[in-house]
Amino acid sequence: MGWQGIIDSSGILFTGFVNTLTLSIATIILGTALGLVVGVLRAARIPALRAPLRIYLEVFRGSPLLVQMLFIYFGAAYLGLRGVETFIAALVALTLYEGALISEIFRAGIEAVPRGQREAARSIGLSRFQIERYVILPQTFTIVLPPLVGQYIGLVKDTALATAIGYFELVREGQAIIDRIGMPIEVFVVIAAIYFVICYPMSLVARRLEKRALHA
Amino acid sequence: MTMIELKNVHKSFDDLEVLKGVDLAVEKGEVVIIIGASGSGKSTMLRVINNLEPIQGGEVWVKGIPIHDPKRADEVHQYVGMVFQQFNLFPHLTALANVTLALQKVKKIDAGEARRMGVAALKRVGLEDKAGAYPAELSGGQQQRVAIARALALEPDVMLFDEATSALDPELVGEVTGVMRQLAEEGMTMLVVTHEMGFARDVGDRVVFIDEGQIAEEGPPAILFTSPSNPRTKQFLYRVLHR
Amino acid sequence: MLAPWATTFSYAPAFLNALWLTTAMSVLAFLFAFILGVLGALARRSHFRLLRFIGAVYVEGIRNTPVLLQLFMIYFALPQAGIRFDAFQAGVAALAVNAGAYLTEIIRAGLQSVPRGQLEAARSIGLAPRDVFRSVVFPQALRSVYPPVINQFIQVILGSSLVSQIALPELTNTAQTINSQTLLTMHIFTVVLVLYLFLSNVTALVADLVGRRAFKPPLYPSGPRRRPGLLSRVGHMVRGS
Repeated sequence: MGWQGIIDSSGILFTGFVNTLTLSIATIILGTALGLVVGVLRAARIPALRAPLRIYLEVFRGSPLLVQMLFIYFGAAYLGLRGVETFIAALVALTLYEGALISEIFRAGIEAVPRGQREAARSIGLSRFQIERYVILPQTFTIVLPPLVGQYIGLVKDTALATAIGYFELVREGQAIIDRIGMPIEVFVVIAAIYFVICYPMSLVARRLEKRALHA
Repeated sequence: MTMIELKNVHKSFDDLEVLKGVDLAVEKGEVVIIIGASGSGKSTMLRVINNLEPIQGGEVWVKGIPIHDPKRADEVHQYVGMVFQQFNLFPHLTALANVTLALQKVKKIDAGEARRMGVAALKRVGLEDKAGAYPAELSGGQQQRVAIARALALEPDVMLFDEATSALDPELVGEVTGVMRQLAEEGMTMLVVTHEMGFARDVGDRVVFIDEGQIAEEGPPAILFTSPSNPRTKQFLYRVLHR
Repeated sequence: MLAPWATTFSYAPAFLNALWLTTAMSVLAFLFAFILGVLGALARRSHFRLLRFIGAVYVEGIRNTPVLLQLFMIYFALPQAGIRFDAFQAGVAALAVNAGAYLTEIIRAGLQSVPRGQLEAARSIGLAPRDVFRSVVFPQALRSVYPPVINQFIQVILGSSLVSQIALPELTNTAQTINSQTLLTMHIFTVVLVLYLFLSNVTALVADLVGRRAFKPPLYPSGPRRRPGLLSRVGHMVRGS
């Protein structure tokens, strides 16, 4: 049978690839949005939000993503939200987890902008929102971009955990193929290669951005 | 006795030629001030003497040792001490440990004796009370004085100063040039790259003006500063003295 | 109301066993990872092209594929090549190989972070290359590497949860098992979540105390702490380095 079996399974592999990509892109969009909001709110040091945001951050960064995902998946069933799809559970868990990590990237980026910028913006009469929108965030962008792309690489790899709750992404489809045709080494190598093809170019981009940020 | 001799020294960084045939001799006890615009090659000249940069042509002799010979190049450190613009103190060591490190590791002097010598060196720069302080706890001027003590403790025959006061706040310059003056009075052979023209005039035996990788003019400060013959020297001095 | 908690806590021995397994696996994996990291950093700084290439392939290969896949390869695929590990060994191996790649880069960056001027000053006072490394480069690299290395250890602890997927009864796997027996999802997963938070925070706290005492001058500038939280302090240390 040899490699023919893997070639025959390329349809299944492609489904896994599409599912991994879908989950990744959805998480990138939602996680970045959540991270941006939390990061800005934390940098703004609003007293009432301080403790809740901290707790959110400490819990999601201090415990394993896998446990968070299982908690959300099984917890939804426990709370009677029957039929919560594996995709939704995975997306919610990944968004909350990656959002926590991304919020720290944004917060650090915002705090890296010199104080004088905020003071100058205030003294020409910009509102609080306008200061963030037109003065701080544009400057934050170049600082934040390299670690953000780095985080997206981690995020793509983290989607593999969705296999634990039964979402048919690449690793799960790989196991399905192995169940049928065996050849675990060959199948896993192919899957590793697919991840590599997605992630390595992102690594190169992150590295280039980092160099550019250093020279800026 | 000639302490340092450069003969037709050429030095390039990739395609950029920084030293284009430099000849210079420094006698024992002489204080030579090196001036020139930034990028003229004056710092590179000091770094070449101290074997921090390889050269592409010419010869460098220190106390009769051919530093251009890779096999003997590292011997330069036995006779030459160097003070850097950015101090380059070791941040994880106290002031005293900075001074005693080479005494113990290079000269193999035992800890007790090294300590005594280190304290003596710190005393020469007026910092014996800061022996236990870490660099981050010292002002820029104090850090640079510790760096001078670190070099002096090894009893060098020549001291190189590479813009030793350029990174300091103006009010701290005096304490460092003060130590340098004192060294000159004690008869130390010194090569000093500096922008402090007052120091150059008072302390220098000879001033060397470097322009585009070559020595454009040299002479006693009284003559070079008042009636330079090279128009480039005139132009440079006009710019630095009339800021 | 209290009955579910009573049931949950009746599993305390199982949780404690699992906690021990998670801890042992993490510590062991981290030790191997550290050795791999040092070897990897040496390879990447080697004069030999081949070693540099091997180091680069290791780092890029590992960092651009998921840990879970690496674990599955070791546990499910290697037996095809006649190499068999039990679940614990496979877990240790996968976590070590994975963290080793990150530590390679951390250690390499730490060695590179020592400024040029330090090396020049060390040479100027006549130190031999060996002493330049021992007395000047190494102690400074150690300082800059300490916070991200600790952070990596915490990542290993959290990452060890993946080994639940090859049926090793560590914390996460134990939670899943008890959950399927009792269906007390909320209670059981709250307990494991708290146990993981305990492990990661205690590690951060101890590392922080050690960092303050062991390094001279102290690793973190004294004075009022801007962010008192434990984990974010480690995070802060990472960014500050």
